[in-house]
Amino acid sequence: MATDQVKGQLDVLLLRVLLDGPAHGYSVISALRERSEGTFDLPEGTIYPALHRLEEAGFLDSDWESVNGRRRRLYRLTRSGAAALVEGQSRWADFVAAVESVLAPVTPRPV
Amino acid sequence: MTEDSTGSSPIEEFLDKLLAASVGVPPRATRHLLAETEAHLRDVASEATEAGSTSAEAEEVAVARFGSVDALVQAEAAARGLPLGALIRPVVGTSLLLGGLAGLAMGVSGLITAIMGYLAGSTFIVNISHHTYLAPSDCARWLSQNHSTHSCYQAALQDWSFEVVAYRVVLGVLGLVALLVYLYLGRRWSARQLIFNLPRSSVDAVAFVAFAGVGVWLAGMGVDSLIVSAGRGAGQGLGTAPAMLVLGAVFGWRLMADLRTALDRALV
Repeated sequence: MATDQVKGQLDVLLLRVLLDGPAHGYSVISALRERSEGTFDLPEGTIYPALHRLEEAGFLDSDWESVNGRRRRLYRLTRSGAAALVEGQSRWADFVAAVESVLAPVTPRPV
Repeated sequence: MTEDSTGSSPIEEFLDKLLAASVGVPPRATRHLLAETEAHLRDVASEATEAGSTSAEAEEVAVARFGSVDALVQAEAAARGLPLGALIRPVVGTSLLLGGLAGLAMGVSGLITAIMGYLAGSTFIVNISHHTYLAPSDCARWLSQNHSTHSCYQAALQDWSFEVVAYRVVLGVLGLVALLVYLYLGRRWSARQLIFNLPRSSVDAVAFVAFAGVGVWLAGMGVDSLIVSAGRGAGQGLGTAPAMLVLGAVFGWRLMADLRTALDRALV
């Protein structure tokens, strides 16, 4: 269930992870898993189309680097990506507040 | 790495499948996706190996954690806004190529049919005899259009044989236009690194079956007319069959080359 739910919020989660600094795909998915203490355990391949979509939207840019003879693509947050993150965090806070207000425990009425 | 004697391993097989499934994704995007995927898979496999897994187990774990090729390619295509264009471009490109070649073949067949008509007479390309019923109103029209003829039969023969050739020549011109459009669009799409043809082996197989099949069928119809109708109308089939059979042979030769290449790869 958590995996299904995270797909709808994947973009903002990726932007948040990359706010801490440039990273390649494997580092991003590892950070996502570690910070959620294993709750967000997505198929790892799903992260790349999401990163590419964010780059197409201008929220990320990327460079290639070579480590131990292996090419890696390093993603970094752009200024508009940082703005999109702030907006996404705000939307999420509103959503959580709305859900919590509906789910708030109520005192049973005396019969 | 856990490559066997054929150079295969779980990661190599996954990358092969990913490459094969990336039809419609621009070449550069495909290369980048493959490079990122390979680096990711090898990182995961290295970690699993350090944790005590065998190389084969480590690669299987890496591939299993990565997810399915189909889901990845679909998500990648969606991320780049590709689905519609990526589907339409190869269909349009291949249709223009094969349709253009078919039209051109019909145009050539028009010329062959015209020569046949010139050498063997109009009845060789039109199935008409003195016993064929010809409506008086049609006769009046044909005679008014062909002043050099003195009978309805002769006028009909001239009109129909002209149509047989003219329609083929028109198809030839349309085929040429389609091929020019194909070359123009192909140049534009190539410049943007977009794929505009369906896979070569598929195109070759479809074209071979279509052109060779039509060629054999038309040749059969022509021979049948020679035997059954004393050659009346045989030129239509016999004039078109050679052009179709030539195209069938070209695509058959390409298909054989495709099969030889696939066989060589399988045996490496």
